[in-house]
Amino acid sequence: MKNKGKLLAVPGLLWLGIFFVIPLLFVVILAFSQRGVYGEIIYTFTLENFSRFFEPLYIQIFFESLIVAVATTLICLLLGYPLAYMITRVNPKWQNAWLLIVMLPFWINFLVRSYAWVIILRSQGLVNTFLQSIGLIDQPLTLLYTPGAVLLGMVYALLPFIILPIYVSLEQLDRKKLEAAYDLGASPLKAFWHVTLPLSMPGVISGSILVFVSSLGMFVVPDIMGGAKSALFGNIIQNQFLSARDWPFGSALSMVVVLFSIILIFLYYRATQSQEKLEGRG
Amino acid sequence: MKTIIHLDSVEKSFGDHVVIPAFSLSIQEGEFITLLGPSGCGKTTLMRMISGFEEPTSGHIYLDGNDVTSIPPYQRDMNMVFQHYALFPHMTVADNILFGLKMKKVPQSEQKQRLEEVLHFTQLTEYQKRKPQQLSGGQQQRVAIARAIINNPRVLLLDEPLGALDYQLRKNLQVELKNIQRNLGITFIYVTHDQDEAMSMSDRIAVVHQGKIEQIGTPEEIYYKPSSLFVATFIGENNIMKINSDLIGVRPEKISLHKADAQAPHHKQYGVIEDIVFLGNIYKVSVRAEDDIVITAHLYEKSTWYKGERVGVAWAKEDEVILR
Repeated sequence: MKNKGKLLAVPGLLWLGIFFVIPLLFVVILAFSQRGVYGEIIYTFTLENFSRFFEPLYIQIFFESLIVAVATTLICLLLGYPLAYMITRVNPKWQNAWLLIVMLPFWINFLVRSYAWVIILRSQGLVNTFLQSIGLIDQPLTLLYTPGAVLLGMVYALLPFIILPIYVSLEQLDRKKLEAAYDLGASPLKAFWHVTLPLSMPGVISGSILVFVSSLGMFVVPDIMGGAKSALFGNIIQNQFLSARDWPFGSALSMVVVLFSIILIFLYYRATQSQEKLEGRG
Repeated sequence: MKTIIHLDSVEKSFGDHVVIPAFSLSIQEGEFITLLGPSGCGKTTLMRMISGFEEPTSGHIYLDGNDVTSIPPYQRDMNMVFQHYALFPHMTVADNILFGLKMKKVPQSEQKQRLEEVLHFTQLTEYQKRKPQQLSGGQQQRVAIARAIINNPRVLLLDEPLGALDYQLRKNLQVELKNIQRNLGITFIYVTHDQDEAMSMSDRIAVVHQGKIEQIGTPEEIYYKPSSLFVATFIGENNIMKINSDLIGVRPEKISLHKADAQAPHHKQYGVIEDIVFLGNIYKVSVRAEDDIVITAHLYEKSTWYKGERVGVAWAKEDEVILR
């Protein structure tokens, strides 16, 4: 019986093995290989690709990407938390409708949605034509191909990933605990600060990590909405695999992102575990 | 005695549905009053109106003579012990207990002193650094009580505070709660569906049924002089009989059995013993009487009664209660 149950996991394990573990191993091997003169791969063992990462150009782009990722996460948090909070407070029969609205963008291809932003933001786009028609501006504003546009696209793409975990942790919160806080003299604001916010931290943290890790590797948004000027780390990696044909270096840069993400996730688990230990659940 | 809480024709309805028809009630200072009723009878809604979590649809609530009908719970000078304690899981026992004082910005030194007193009083001193989840049910219950009484409230509301605990612990905590109430002189408003709990602790019991207070009085009054059929059957066991045009109730322990042929002028009914059950402290004897009603008698001795025996059933006139 026990073994039969385990058999059910085989298709999923096979899938993960073939399409996740093996490619990942391939990336690891590539990262220590060398690029030939014509872009072919020479299998040796070298750390050269990693030492290239520390060249000022790449370090600078890495830190810029880091800043964009932090900014994206913070903006998503500031927009997402109140929205998730609001969804838990509306009439239960509207909650599913709101969650549907949050997830609705996933029904449309991400690339298509990103190009939709181009149509909205370009110089003859919706925003500019509208502002010109009401006479607010004479010349079209430069909205597209700016750092602001990249940030907007990132937040737009990743907002649902922070709303859902926060919604879940707020939904699980026992209302009686809030009532207890009111009863003990806490105003609604104080009760939020001392009870709701700390108890929803697991959702805040896991949502933030999802958004942060995703935005660090994002290349579609900066490509389409940032133009040629603003390359982020994801674009550099993409370039190595496509135009530069330097797969080993691209793999090494991917490894850097993966390692960085693993460290973050590890820190997250340590933080939540110590939290659970404090709460006596650990 | 001084009135501390006065409810003046308070009514609550949700939409068109009247949950609590208008009623008035005065609660005395230092009193232990219990709202007793089956689940869904409206006693919790009643308590939530007193604590401020629900606003009555009409009527007024006075605390110490001041109208507090629309005052939010965080500005009312009373505290509540919640049904499942509602302790804060992310805070230690000490922080849980101090929460109220911190919200009121009581000076640090006073906070520390009052914390020590309350911890000592509730025997929680050694657990103060723990999180609520690391405590047993009874200890969590004491934290909930400590968290409320540290604020020196005028009134303490308790919503089925012992409901989640097992029998023995409940019995012990009943005594503890009663002692706390006596020692601190706080007015207790206690909500429960457990009549034993209500009987053993309360100064007065208000029996609530379908949103209405059916009867209010001391435990003895409620037990011996129930004013309605509901109270007579809800509290303890009762024999309900129709004598002439009156509906009367007689407690099983007030019933005596006699040999059918014995000359006893006070025999009220005759019947046949249908069942004799040993309950530990008493024998419960069921007698099927002439009008096909079953009269239950609680006897301390089994004597020679046997199943199928024809007996005379008797009770004293003063043990009859005429019900509405």
